[in-house]
Amino acid sequence: MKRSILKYWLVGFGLWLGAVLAFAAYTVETTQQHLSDELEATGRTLQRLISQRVAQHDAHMTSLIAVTGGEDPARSGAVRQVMESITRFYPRIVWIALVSLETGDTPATSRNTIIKPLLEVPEGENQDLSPLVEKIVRQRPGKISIYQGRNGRYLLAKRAPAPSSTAVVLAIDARLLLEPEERPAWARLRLILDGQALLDMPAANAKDARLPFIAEPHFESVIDGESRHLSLGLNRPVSFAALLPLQQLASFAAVSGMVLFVVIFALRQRAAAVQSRRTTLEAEARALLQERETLLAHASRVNAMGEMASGIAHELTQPLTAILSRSQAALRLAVTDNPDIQAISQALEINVREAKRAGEMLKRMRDYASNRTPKPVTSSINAIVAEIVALTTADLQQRGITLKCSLAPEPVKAFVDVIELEQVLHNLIRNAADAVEATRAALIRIETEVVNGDIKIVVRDNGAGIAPDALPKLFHPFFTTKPDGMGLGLSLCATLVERIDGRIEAANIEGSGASFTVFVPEAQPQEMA
Amino acid sequence: MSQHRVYLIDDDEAVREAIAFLLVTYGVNVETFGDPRTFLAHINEEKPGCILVDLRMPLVSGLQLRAQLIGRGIDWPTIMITGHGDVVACRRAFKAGIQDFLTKPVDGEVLIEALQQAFGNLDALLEKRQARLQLARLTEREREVLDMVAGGWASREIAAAFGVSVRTIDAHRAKIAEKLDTTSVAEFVRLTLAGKGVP
Repeated sequence: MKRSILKYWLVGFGLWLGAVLAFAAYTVETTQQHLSDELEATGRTLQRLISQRVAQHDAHMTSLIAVTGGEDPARSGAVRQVMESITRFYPRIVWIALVSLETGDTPATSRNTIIKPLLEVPEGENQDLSPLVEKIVRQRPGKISIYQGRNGRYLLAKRAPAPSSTAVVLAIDARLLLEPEERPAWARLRLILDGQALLDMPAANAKDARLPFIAEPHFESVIDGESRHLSLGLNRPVSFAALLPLQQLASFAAVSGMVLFVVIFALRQRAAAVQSRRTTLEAEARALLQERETLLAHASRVNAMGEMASGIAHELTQPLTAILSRSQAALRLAVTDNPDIQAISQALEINVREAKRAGEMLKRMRDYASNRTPKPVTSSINAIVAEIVALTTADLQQRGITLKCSLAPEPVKAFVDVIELEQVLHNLIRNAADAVEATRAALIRIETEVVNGDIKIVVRDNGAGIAPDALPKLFHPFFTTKPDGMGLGLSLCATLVERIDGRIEAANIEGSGASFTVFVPEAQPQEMA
Repeated sequence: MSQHRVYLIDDDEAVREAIAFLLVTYGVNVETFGDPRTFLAHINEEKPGCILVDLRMPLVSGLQLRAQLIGRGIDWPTIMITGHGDVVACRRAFKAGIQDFLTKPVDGEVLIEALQQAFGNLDALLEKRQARLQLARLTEREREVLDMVAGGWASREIAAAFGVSVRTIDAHRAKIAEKLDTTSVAEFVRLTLAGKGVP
């Protein structure tokens, strides 16, 4: 019972844990997907935005080249105005310059070319343009060169078409490519120029706890324009809390735990109901069985009583008949003129004996029927045997049966109910007498013996013995070989002997006759009062 | 009491002796047997008597004894005594032609009464047997003449009926009287009636 309850709760806990884990996994998965999608969308928007903005740089440079009109510095005033208005409108364009590329007569190389600002806005920026030379020199007119500068800036350069040897250079502050409000705080944003980081802005939550086994959503895309040298990278560091909202998980755990608890409780209740119903049914069945057994026992007892009553009635009828007839005869003799006193007293004597015989039978019946509680006392078995012998000798002699008795030397004491043991021995002697009645020199021997703490009382006869097939059934109730027997005598004997921890055995004697042996435990010395 | 015997068969010695003792005080001539077989071996048809038998005995029951006796042509009145006075046993006993059915313990008066009735029946039985034996000695013609005499016919009328002389009829009557050992017409009538009926 205890185990099953424990099992129930263990299974319940397992289910609950499984459900919570599944929920967590599902939440992580969907959140991850959602965050990833959001990142992707944001990335695309930013990429488009930046692409549009850098496309303007190209346009500015082209228009500036057009405005400079080759190498006529005279128009520098107008150029400066344009430059100034550009820087005013576009704060990310932090510096604009018109530079000249002076070379000798030899074809331009990065070594012999000197780059010299002709016009710059604002002035005094002191941009280091030397790294740009190499790129510009090899740059064909109309194309843009790009070069990473300091402090998150990069430089763009475009040459004027030949024969002009000027170029327009823009310095762009990459940080201003996006307005602060355009930048998602939750993402790490990087701008990469030709594989080198130009800008790296960490996410606001970068220091939060991460789930180690979950890959960060990542977005990377090349920016159109600026000759596709620039690319945007977005990483979304996902905190444990964002991925697995603990509050939600806790609510789910609580709710599912409660549901499971209720379900298990309901199941338990149902199981308990079923169990209790089964127990009830079993108890009912048991009660029914017991009742039936009681009825059966009662019926067999009643049956036994009926059979016994009938048998006893038959046996009692005989002495009663004899007594009645003899009494009436004696009465007739008594009322004659010359009564034969001797004949009358003889008749009365026989009547007394017959009446005792009847009484004996009644006593047997009472003892069987009343189921009286035995009153065992420490008694001399020899004395009991002697008593029985004295009681039966006369009757046996009349039937031509000799009764011989040999007793073990005292003490032969056992803790027995005297009346019951007498009853047993009387029964055995009666049976023996019936067995030897037709035998010549009919003999019954009764012996006592002490063997290994047991007292043996053996009743032997020299009759025909017991039929082999009858031997095993001898002590069964209602088993009898006598035409008028009830089959209760030996069964009763066995019951009575077993009640005092004894036993009874039947055997055939080699040669002729049968022997019945009663074993009763010898009384311990302290019991021998 | 009757000069007839009572044959008492009971397996219980005490019962046997007590009933015999009682019957003796009534002056009944009683012979006792411990079991039916001894009785069957001992029985003598020349010594008719009433049979008093226990219904329930080992080996041969009272009813079986009765059947064996009938088989030997002995149908002396039989009284059954039993410790089990149940209806079934009683019915079977009467169907077997039992005279009376008494339950143990049996009262002396009742037993004597039943025995007296049985003795009467035995007398009638023996008388009928005697009459039949006597009638059997007559010739056919003598039997016819006897019947007519018993029927109240005069010799003359009988002679006319047979178409013989009165003297012939008288000769027959003399022969009949000799064989039946009586000349009384009343005696003729009694014997004729006794000889009739079921043997």
